[in-house]
Amino acid sequence: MKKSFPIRRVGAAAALLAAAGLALAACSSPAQSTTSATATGLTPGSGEPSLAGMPGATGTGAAQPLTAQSAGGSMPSMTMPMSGAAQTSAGAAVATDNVSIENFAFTPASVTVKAGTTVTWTNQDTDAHTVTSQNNAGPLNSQPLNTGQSYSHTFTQPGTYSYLCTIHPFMTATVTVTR
Amino acid sequence: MTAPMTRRQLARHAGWFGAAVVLSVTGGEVVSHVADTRDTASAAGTGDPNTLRFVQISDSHIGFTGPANTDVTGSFARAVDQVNTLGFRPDFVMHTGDLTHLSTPAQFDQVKQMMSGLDTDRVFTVPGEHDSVEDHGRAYRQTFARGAEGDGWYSFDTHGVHFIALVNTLSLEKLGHLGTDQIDFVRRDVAGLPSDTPIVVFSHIPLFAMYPQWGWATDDALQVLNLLKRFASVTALNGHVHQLFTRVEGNVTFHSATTTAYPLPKPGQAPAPTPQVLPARQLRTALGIRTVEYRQATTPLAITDKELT
Amino acid sequence: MTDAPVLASLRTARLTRARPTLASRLFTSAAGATLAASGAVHAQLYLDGYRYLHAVGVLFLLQAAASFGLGALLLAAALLPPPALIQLTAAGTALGALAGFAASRTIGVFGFVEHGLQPAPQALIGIVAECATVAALLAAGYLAARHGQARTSR
Repeated sequence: MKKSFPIRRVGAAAALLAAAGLALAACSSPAQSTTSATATGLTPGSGEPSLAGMPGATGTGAAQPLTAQSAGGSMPSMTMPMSGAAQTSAGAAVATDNVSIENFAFTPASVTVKAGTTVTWTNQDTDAHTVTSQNNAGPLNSQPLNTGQSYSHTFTQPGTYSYLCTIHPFMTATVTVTR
Repeated sequence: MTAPMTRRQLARHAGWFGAAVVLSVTGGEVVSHVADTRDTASAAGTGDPNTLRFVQISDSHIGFTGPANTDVTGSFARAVDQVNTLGFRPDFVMHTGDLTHLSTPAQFDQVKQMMSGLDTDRVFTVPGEHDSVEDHGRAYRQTFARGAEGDGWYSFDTHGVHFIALVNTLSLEKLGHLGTDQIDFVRRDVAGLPSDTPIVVFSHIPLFAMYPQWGWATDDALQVLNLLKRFASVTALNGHVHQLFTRVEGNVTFHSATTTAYPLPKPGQAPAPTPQVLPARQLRTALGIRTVEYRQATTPLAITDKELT
Repeated sequence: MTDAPVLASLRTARLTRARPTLASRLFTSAAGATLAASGAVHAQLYLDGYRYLHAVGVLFLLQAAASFGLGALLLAAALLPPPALIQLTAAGTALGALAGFAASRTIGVFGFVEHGLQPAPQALIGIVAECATVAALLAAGYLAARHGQARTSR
């Protein structure tokens, strides 16, 4: 068995391999850039009447004047939160006419009321929410509710009403109306 | 057999591992040198007219007030500054939706004013669900999509790349939805394109199933992706999820962008996708902008995500 | 000095110092070749655009660099057998690449997810090369250990 001390040999081998690698790198030619004659300007798609979007600060398109729309839209009538919103866990349908909106969820998520009942939703989150019928095919259609604001609706027809928050569409719930 | 390591053995190991490190570092240097050469050789400085560069910003939520970001306007202003000081002038800037938080006229006006300060040729947008809160996107279309078809979808071309901007936040049922009109539009739009045309698709909600439980998917996206199957390179860029995410499926690469407003939890890491409150210093690292570069006839689109400065 | 993990590696190191058989050395060399191939796949993907991926790009570069470095050392094993620790590190590098591949198909790697054997054919070449590396190193280790036992029992 050889007892020769191999560090020098390893070092020499490493240096050789390193040199080979560097030589390879030096030889590797940069990617060929083929310049084809495609338009570099922005053009609308083939079926498009005009270019979408708006010109940037240094855009070539004619700058459209910004229309300063009046900010103060008419505020819908909102009621202040009612006291004692039902604090029931979601799951089974609950007989209550108060639904709380908190932690990005309707609580309870499923309520059952008799026809003629007015159900009130109160937003207790810091973010705004809406109460909107699914498919826009239903009676529920609230404005965005800010913290503390409420929305009420009186159900006259029996049936199951699915709704969501259009701002956070993962928030879904139902109201079941019985005779 | 249990004798301690002799000095000779120790030196021998050090020699071998030293060689391993030297060789590895050399190999890494060679590879990154080749990468650099490719980057600089074909870009040839910032003035190369054949290089397409654009910026994606997303989810500015102008009008949001909450502990997750008490100054979304300031954050968006910084993002605009960052775009204007990139060192190159992007060919265009695309905002992939949730421009406003609650679609009020004042919020639309503010975000439009801020974006008109972007140093670029053109600013494009697609709407998010926060841009159509109670009017089915009417205010959005009046502000940003006057000439566009249908609900505001459109396409454009530059540098040999075909761009399609889709709207999947109207008629929303938990998941994003495109609708037959829009799918027909894509069919007509790509009908005459050669299959080697690079395609970039913008949408607000991801076109892939990132996390359907939270609505992070589009129910009829597959129909559009099928129309794009014949193209060699398809890149889909979206917002909505407020975090970086990349997925490759067949010929399509999906890249979710981050936000300039506030972070959302990773899929399934919280009961609901609610705004995450981070310490002030960490917030900035969760926000950002994205630059995309494309050089004709070379490698695919180069996507670089930058933290907000 | 009674450090258990060090002792274990020392024992194997001693075995390999007892000049391993030709078959063992050839297996080690083969592992070097397949590990370098895995490194080449990673380097090529890195250059082809993976370098732009958040965090994943850096991991590809590190994988390629380590595979090249360790692969080169193992290749030389036919002439100069490396200590067992080098072979363990090489096996770890190949296993790390396989783990990364598995993670990118399931839980994701820093928000990066791919499906199946995409990109083809690089994904398949990489897996085969990395599995072959591990298999060859196991074979080399087994042969070396048996050889060592035979020597000590003689």
